[in-house]
Amino acid sequence: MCRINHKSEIRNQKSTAFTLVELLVVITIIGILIALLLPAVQAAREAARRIQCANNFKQVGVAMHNYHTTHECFPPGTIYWNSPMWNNPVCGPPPPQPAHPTYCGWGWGTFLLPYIEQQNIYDQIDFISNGSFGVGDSIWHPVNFPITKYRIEAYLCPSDPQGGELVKATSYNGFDTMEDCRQTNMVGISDSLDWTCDGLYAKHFSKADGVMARQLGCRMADIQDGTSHTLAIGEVTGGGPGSHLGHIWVLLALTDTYDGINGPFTVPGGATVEDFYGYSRPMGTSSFHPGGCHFTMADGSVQFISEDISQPILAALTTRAGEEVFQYGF
Amino acid sequence: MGSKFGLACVVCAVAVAVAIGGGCGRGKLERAVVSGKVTYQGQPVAKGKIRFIPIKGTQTPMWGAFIRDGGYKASGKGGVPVGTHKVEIVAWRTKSDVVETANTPRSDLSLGGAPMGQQYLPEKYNTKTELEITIPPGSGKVVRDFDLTE
Repeated sequence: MCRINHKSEIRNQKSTAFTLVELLVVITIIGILIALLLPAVQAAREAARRIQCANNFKQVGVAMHNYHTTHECFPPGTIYWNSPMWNNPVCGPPPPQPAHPTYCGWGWGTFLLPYIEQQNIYDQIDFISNGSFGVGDSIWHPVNFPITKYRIEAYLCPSDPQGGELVKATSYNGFDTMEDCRQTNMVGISDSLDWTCDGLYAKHFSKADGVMARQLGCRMADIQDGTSHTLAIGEVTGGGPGSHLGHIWVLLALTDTYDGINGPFTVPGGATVEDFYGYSRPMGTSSFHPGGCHFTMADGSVQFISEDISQPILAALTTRAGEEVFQYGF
Repeated sequence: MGSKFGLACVVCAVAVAVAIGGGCGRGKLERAVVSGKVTYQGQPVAKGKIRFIPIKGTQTPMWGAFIRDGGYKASGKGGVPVGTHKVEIVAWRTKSDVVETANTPRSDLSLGGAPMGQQYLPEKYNTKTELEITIPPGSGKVVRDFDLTE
């Protein structure tokens, strides 16, 4: 009894303080554990954002099919007719006059609004009035400017630090009044070739072999390559936070796939804001998810495609009726 | 003794974790940084783009770079993948009838985000390119100048 008491006294004396070395060891171990944990936490958060982004792409895929059920075609990539720049026949003759020239200027993101529960926004649009360009450009009418600024969460990716900011739509003479439109992280896949042909102006139809080619209104029957092997909607990023460079959902949310995934002319591919001098936005599909980006296929499914995909296969996935023979495992 | 054993355990666990983490790298494409000068009729190309598009059975992504002040450096993501590529070069300048100032419109989204200006290189360097480059494995850095003529 006596010995036990004596021992516990000694123990009490010893445990009243701990040494500096012990403190440092504990701190080091905690530090190492945190260092191990932090990347895992970040990865888990990114995984959650990626799932949310994939969900957005799925919603748009469902909306596309609902649109197809109603209109018997997918929405046209964009309906735009009047720009004299587009009458430059570098890539062939201009297409026939569209059936509804007064609907000029609106993109697929606008036409899908009623199918992603944004009917209230859609109903505010004045498709009839003419804007600053004369006939058939209602999108440039001041009545519609507030529409172009609406933030559509379904079109945004939570991993993009730009966060759906207002981006410069154009600073071209005559359109000065329409400077800011809301960003989108989704674009229609319109072409397997550089649609500008000469690297400058988007032409009427450089090849327009994608599902969302402008003014097309692609039907399911037109997708002879198979809807599960054809890209419809892809992911894009802008010029970075505060750059006010990016794609807009209301007008021309389209891209070709000629510049790859996370390619050299995008921020995830290593380009900087200064590089975009003269261009109003990055070129090619891209995302801030590691290793690739999301696509909605024409069948409504969502695929995450690696940035290391070979360019010929990406082109084959782009075309709706290219009849290529290729294998790509989904 | 007990605390030493515990410390040893932690050290071992960290070492194993680092070893596993380090060994999990994906098989990556072999790439090479390609850089050089671009001139047209002896003049440096101020603004433009250069693309390397895989051809002749090369199964890689495309790569490229912006051309600025007569030079380019395709270094993003490690550079251009190994293989044979066709080379497409576009260059643009402000139209001669536009005087460029700070307020000059530079681009128009409705035109696909392209700069306001004109592309002035012949199509044999871009849409119908005859330029080619082959990057062999293990080449590291490659320097390739393009002296373009009429």
